[in-house]
This record gives sequence, structure tokens and C-alpha cells, in this order.
Amino acid sequence: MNKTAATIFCLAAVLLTAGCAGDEFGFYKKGLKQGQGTAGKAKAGRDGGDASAYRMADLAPSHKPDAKSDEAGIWLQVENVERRVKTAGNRMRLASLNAYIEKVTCRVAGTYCKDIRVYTMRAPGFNAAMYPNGMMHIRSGLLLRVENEAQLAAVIAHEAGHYLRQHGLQRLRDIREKTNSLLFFQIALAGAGVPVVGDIAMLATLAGLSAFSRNMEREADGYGLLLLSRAGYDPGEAWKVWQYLVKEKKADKDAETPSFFVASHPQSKERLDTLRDLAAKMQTPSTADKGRERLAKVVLPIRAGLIRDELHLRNFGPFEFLMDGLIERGDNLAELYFFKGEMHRLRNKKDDAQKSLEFYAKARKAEGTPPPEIHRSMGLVHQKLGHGKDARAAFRAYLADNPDAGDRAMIKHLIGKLGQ
Amino acid sequence: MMNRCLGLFLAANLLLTGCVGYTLVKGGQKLELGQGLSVKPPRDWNRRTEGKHEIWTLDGPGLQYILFVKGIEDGGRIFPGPARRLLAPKKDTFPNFRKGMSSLEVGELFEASLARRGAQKIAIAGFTPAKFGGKDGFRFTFTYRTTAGLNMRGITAGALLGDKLFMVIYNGTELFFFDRSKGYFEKILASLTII
Repeated sequence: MNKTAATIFCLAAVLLTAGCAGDEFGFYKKGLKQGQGTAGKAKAGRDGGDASAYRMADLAPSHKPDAKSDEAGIWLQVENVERRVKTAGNRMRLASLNAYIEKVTCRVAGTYCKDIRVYTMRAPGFNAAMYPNGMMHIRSGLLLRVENEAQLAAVIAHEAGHYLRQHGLQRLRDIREKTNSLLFFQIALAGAGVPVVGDIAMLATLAGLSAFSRNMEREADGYGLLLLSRAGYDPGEAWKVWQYLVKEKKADKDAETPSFFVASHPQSKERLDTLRDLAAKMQTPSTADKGRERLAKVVLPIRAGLIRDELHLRNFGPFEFLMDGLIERGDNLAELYFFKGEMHRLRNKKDDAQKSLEFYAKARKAEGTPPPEIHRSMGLVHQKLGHGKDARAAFRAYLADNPDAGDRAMIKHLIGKLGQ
Repeated sequence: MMNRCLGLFLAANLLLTGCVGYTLVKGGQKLELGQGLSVKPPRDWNRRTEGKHEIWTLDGPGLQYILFVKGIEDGGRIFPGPARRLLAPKKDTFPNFRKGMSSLEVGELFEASLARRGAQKIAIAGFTPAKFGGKDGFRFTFTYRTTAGLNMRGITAGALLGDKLFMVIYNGTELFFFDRSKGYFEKILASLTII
């Protein structure tokens, strides 16, 4: 992919989106221009503000701009983006997952369900983005980070809040007035031909530069909680999602701290407090539903693949934090201990080899089923430690469990060498 | 209007800068690639070098390419790229080669590197010991899907020599281009010598 073209594309694209759910760093930021939120009816202060300020009557889906307006051109490009997303290689096509996400979306969006289309994109990390035409993206990494359906619904409801308060459309107008992004976008699409989610990490990061304004985020938080509560979910789950993200960011000890990231900014705490207070003021339904089992039923069958996506980043601090959280929840511990072992094996610092073996041993004893390559990993560690006999035994067990393994010839070769 | 013209000019220039850098490799002649590697391609190829990486293509790297990885050392990457993502504030989280890795671990690194480039449904098969430029090495095949939804197929051959990783990676679209140029790749690989 042409790097420069991709960059221009991303710069243009992010002006049209807001990667807000993943941008714990994008909330309540200082130094960027303040809110364009026109409603301004819901003033959330440090005490969480007035819950009654958020009313369903204030919500309406964005409408397609007049064909003769400048915004119409940008809108058309957003529709082109959606066409690309529909055929993107990393769009998740698992019917059961997509049906589940649609069900949750419709539950929170209610009558506006038909206006919002959620696309789950296979990618590590946490992000969600709302486009002005009703297209929403969520990353598959989000599914690992929410504890229950109510937390997933909280993210979707927040994004729906942006859409139903027409924040995206307001941003389009802002872009039209202040930039040449339409020009950039057209050039980028024509010249680069890059898929919209070609470099989703960069896209998401850049989104932080042009995220929704502070007032818009407050509105989306408030209306998101309203939608969540009306749908029968426990609104008290929403703040926990953002708290998790702040903690995960802090676990990234090696990360640089760019000026526009506010992960450790006190105002992140303000946001958590506001969400918590507001949720307490909203009427919690007597049947406040968390839906932990429903989420687990959909996520557990695909969880190992999603964890591998995270491990491919080789960003071990946040990965360990993620794994420890999953282990605390406790579903299929054998799988989770295996991946904790994998983390140590791949990090390969002092004592990591020994720790990886300890976790593999725990995985074999724990509830659930470890992935089939556990003996291969054990063999690799034993080989590194010079444990020839143990390495041979582990590799043989791997081949016995996986007779059609793609690396069978190499493993057999290794067993032969270890036997010398 | 002036601003728009300036924007167009700048954008066009930025786009064009990514289009330079290829030179022609003449077929039938032995070519020194540096780092002790040499090959004799059976036909002409387009060649672009980036440090210890070298990309050859016939129809464009999006359709097919041969990537030469010429002895990357501890901390190096299999695929060429910027030290870190342009404008991205996060640290570089690309998986890196580490000295002491085994060939199976290089396979894992390859998979993780492809994944970081957005590849989906990666499958590695036929991982086997194989001679590489006359040295003991490895070889495997792979398939994946790009973010644009295109199915790709490839072959990787390589060797770990003195804490350095050498590889030749052939990659092409499953439809047409992989098969079309596979024979050329095999001849180039067979002609590879390492001093």
C-alpha cells in the first residue's frame, strides 16, 4: 500500500469518524477546540449533572444532506466507505456473532435500530467509531474487554448517542468550513485505492486527533446511558468499560505519552465519576440485566483467535492486564493459562521460559481445554532450556494430537536432532 | 480557491513520492544483492531496495512480489516499513526478530508480522527443513486474506545464519498471479547463493 496515500486517506477518513469508544485518551481533552454540540441541554458537571436533561424526544437519526449542499459530497464518500467495509477482508462474517451484535444494537437503539448498521471488524485493541450515515464499526478486541452484554451495549449506546444527536453531521459542517478534506478524501480514494480499514490501528490513533468535541462526548455519554437504561440494561455497567480502558492503558508501561493522549489525565477520572453519578440517578430497571452468559456464549467459541490477535501485537504489558482480567472471570481457564504461558514464551525475558512452563502445566490441569498446540509450545521452551528429553516428549505429544499439523516435517526433523 | 489548488498540489506531490524507487533487473545475469547473497533471475524484474530488504515485482507488489530479507539482526523486522507508524503516537509494537530464535519461532514471527499488516485467516503449511542457498534452512507455504478481501498465496524459504535471518518470500494473488510467476520464483530461489 502506498504509505503516503494511505496517510492522506486516513487523515481524511478520521475527520469523518470519531474513534471515541476506544479513545479513553479522546475524552474530555484539553487543548483541542471545545464543543460544537448545539443542544447543550444536558450539562453534566462533576456531580454527573441532571439525568432528566436527557430525553428521548431530543433524539433523531441524521438525515442525508440536501443533494446540492457541500455536505452531500462528503456523505457520498462515507457511503463509498461503507461499500468497501461490506467486502473488507477483516469484516467478521460469523453469522451467530453478527446476529447477536444486531440484537444488542436493536435493543438499545429501539425504533432507530433500522438506521444503525454495525460492522464488527477483526482487529486487536478496543475501538468503536460512528459515521454520520449510521454506519458503526466496532473492533473484535472490544469483545474480549467487556465483561457482559450490558457493557457491550453501553459502548454501542454511546455511539448511537453520537448518531442520534447528529454529531457526525455537525462535524461534516465543521470540516467543510475549515478544511479541504473533501479534496483530500477524493484524491486518497482515487489514487490509493486502499481499503478503508487497511490500517485500522493508524486510523484509530489518528481519530484521536479529531475526535468528537468534549460536549459531544458528554451528550453521547448521557444519551447512551438513557438508551442503555431504557433497554433494561444496568446503566451502572457503563463507567466500568472506561475504567477498564484507563487501567489497560496504564498497564502499557513502555508506551510513550503523547500530548494529546489523556489516558492518565485527571479528566478521565472526571468522566468516570460523571458516568457513575449519572447512572445512579437514572432509574435502574428492577430487572437490571447484565447478560454475562449471553455474551460468553457468543465470545467463548472465538476467544482463542481474538486473544491471538492481541498477542500478535507483542505488547506484553496490556496483554498481561487483559489476560489477568479474563482469568479472573474464569471461563475455560485452560485456554487462558495457555495464552499466559505463550506471553511469557514470546516475551523471552529473564525467568520467562520457566514461567511459561508453569502456566502450560496449569493449563493442562485447569478447567476447560487448552489449544491443541500446547505441547508444541512446551517443546519449544524445553528445547531452548536444553531439556532434550522433555522437548522430544512434548513434540511427540504434539504430533500425536495433531497428525495433520502443517509443521509436522519440521517437528520430526527437530525430534531427530534432539535425539542425537 | 487558492487553498484548494495548494492542497491539490501538495497531495499530488505526496502521492507521487511513493511511486519512485524501482530499477530494472536484467534477466539471465548474475546479480549481487549484498549481504553475501546473489541470484540469477531467468527474466527481467522490477527491483526496489530498502535497507536490508529488497522487493521484486513484475506486475506491482499488490499482485505479486518477491521479498528478499538480507540478514536482519536482533530487533529487525521481516517486512520493511517505517520505524514506527507515521504520525502514530504509540510505540512500535511490530513483532521483531530476536537472535536465538528457532526456525519454528521464525514461522510464528512471520505469522504475527503478516497479522500486523492486516492479514486475515493466515494459514502456514508444509513447514519443512530445506536447503537455502546451499545452507541448512527451512521452507513453508502460506495463505491469507488481505483487508481488501483478496486471497493471497505464498512461499517462504529462509535460513538462520550466525544470529541473522535470511529469507526469500514469494507472495501473489491466489487468482492468477501466484501461479503465473511461481516458476520464476523457484528458479530465482534455486539460483540463490550465500557466501
